[in-house]
Amino acid sequence: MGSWFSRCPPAKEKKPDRITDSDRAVLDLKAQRDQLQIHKRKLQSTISSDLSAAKRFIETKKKSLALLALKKKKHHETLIDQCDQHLLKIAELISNVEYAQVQETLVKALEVGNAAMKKMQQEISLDYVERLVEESEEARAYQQEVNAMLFKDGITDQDTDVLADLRRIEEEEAQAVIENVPSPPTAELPPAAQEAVAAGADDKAERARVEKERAREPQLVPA
Amino acid sequence: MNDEVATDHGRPTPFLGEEEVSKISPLSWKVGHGGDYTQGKNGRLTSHRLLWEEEGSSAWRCIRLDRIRDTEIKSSWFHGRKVVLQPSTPTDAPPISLRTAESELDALHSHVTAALQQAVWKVHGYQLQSNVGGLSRVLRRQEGRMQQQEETVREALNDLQALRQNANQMAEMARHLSRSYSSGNAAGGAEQAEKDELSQLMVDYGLADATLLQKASRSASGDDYYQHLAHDLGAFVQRVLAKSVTNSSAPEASTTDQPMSDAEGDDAAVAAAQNGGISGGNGMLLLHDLFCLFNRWKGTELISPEELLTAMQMACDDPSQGLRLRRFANGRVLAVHSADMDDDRMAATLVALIERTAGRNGGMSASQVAAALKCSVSLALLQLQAGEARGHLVRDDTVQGLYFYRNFFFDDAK
Amino acid sequence: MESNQWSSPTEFWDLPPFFTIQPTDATREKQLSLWLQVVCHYCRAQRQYFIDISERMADSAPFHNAKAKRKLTLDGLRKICSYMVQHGHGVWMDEGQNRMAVFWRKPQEWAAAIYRWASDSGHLNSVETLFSLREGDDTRDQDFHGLPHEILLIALQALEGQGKAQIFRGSSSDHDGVKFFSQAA
Repeated sequence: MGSWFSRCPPAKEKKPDRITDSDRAVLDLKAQRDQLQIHKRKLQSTISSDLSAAKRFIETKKKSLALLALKKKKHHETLIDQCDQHLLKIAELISNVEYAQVQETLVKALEVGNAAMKKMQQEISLDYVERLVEESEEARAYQQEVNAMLFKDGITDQDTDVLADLRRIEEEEAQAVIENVPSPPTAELPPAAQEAVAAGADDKAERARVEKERAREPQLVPA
Repeated sequence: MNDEVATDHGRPTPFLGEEEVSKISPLSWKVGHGGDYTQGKNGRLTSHRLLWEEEGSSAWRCIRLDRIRDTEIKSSWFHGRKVVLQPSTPTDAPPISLRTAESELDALHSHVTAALQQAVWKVHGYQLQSNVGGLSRVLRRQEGRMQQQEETVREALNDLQALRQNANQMAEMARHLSRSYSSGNAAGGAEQAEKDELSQLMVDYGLADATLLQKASRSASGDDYYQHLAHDLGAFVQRVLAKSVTNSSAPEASTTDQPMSDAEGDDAAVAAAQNGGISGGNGMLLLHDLFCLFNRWKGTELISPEELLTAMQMACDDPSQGLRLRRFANGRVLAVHSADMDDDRMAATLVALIERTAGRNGGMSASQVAAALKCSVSLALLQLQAGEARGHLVRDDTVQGLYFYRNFFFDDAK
Repeated sequence: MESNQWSSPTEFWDLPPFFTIQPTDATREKQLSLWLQVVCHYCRAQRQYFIDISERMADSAPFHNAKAKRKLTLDGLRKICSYMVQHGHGVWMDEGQNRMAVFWRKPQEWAAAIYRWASDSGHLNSVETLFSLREGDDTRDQDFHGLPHEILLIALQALEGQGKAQIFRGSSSDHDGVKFFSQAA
């Protein structure tokens, strides 16, 4: 194995170490968890061997030995229970630490945000804002003055001549539209055409009926 | 007379060049004519001396063979036979009698006689080996054996050399004969009948080929010779390759059933060669197979590998022949094939063969392919490997052997 | 062994040449890529994370096919593993290259799956042990549940490289932990 390491030096040297102390702590905890897992597996395998030993003793009528084996099994089972307890504890601890890590980053983020806000607030002083408001007020007053000067003797909305002109043009336009509409026919319709008209009416009634039926059975209509 | 022996860790220290000849047990001995025999144990005869361990004490004693003049077997009334050693100096020294098991006595006598005759001690004298353990003795013995083997090998090689010289002379003679016959042929005349008879004899004894005898007349020397050879070789290769292609496309048709009509009976030679198991597989012929085939076809006018290579290169340089020389991937093997043949086509034939024989997802070994194509295993293997290199075939390397399969790895890509 | 429950994603697995590493380059490349698929498929099905270069490994599926009567050689096994490492589907665990971690998912994919889980289950910006990622009840229905420590670590290192997580040790224990980040640093 060593040869592999020596041949391919890992990239650790050139990269900054991104491992914190809490990472190492978590790793240690997880390594402990692994140890417990291994121990548990070992116990489980001894239990099965205990059980088979007990069965063998029963078959060969060695009752006391069988009892002993079963006692051992019982003992191992309690050990496994303990293991599980420890595992649970360690898992709890790990998740706590990991959660704390998350919190830590959260706090850090808050801190950074806070600092940024403070910095921005520092840059924007109250005097400066006041001055800005004043300046914009002044600009508005100036604009009103300019408007007043423009409307003093120029064109206003109330100019009657202009309005009369407008109305005249509108009337002319409306007249042109009316003249262009064709006049209705005056002659009688031939009989065939009359039937066709009647059929058309029937058709309309039929279509309405179908429509109604469709509405009654909506599940048949494809979506 | 019999000396105390220097020992080394309880074993007698050997002399330089001393070799053990035989063991003698049981052994008893006495000096002079009267008195009792003394028992000895661990008796042994070496090239230098006779030695034994005294009964009761661990002292070793010996009789040096250089002081023995003669040995003989004597028999006495009461005690049975014995080996008597006669010391050389002084002349009146009492003889030494040795007894051993009756069955061993003759052997002992002959061994002693042989050792006396060889007189190995004369080489190094009686010089004690210093610090010689068992290992160095073994090494020394090994060295001697190797020298002997070298000697044998050298002799054998000399024999071979002589044999080769004889063969060369024989080939030279055959060549000379056919050449003189050809020149005589050109002259013509009254001896024609005699010459015909001679040539007939040569053909009968397998020393010449009828068709070649007519052609050989014009092969004077040098380039001319090679050009001629190249032409012959080209034609020969094409015939063999043509045969092999018909073979591989219709493997069930037996070559012997095919009509032998034209081409001056050459096809017969080719067919015979193919029945012998060698042929151009899949439109390709290995140069060393070609060498055998061609020389077999030529009969007497054998050509050397160098001649074959030169002529083959000339034949392949000539575009009208339509032949290609190709060096296989491993660089050591040369093969000749027709110009319109390439690796991909060759591999396609092999894939088709494998699919036909072993099924779509089946495999074949080089020897199976060789049997199917009627070619040599090495050629089959080379072709399979070439096909593999081109990505047409894949291999299955198992303990049973090497099998080749169609390259199915790209099936899903198609 | 488990080969009866597992079926290869490619029919080539039943063909003998698949078990001989091919000498021709292009063919071998293709073959190895098929092997990569087979190995990943097998390991995913069997939840297998490691491959050893051993006879025992070569004798078992997917490197041994009883039906085709073929098995890979150790050399072949090594070649396949090397190919997987080359293509990011594995990594050698030792210097001697005898053990390979299989990435039937590439580390980046594991990393993405883990990060998705972390963000879906609210584990961003919080700490988790590597043990609980592998074995914990929270990840029981996740694909990466049961991933071996080594591979998990590699995946998390990939995540770390992207800046989406950091691996660290606790102050008192020597257990590895990881912290997921909501955004890359």
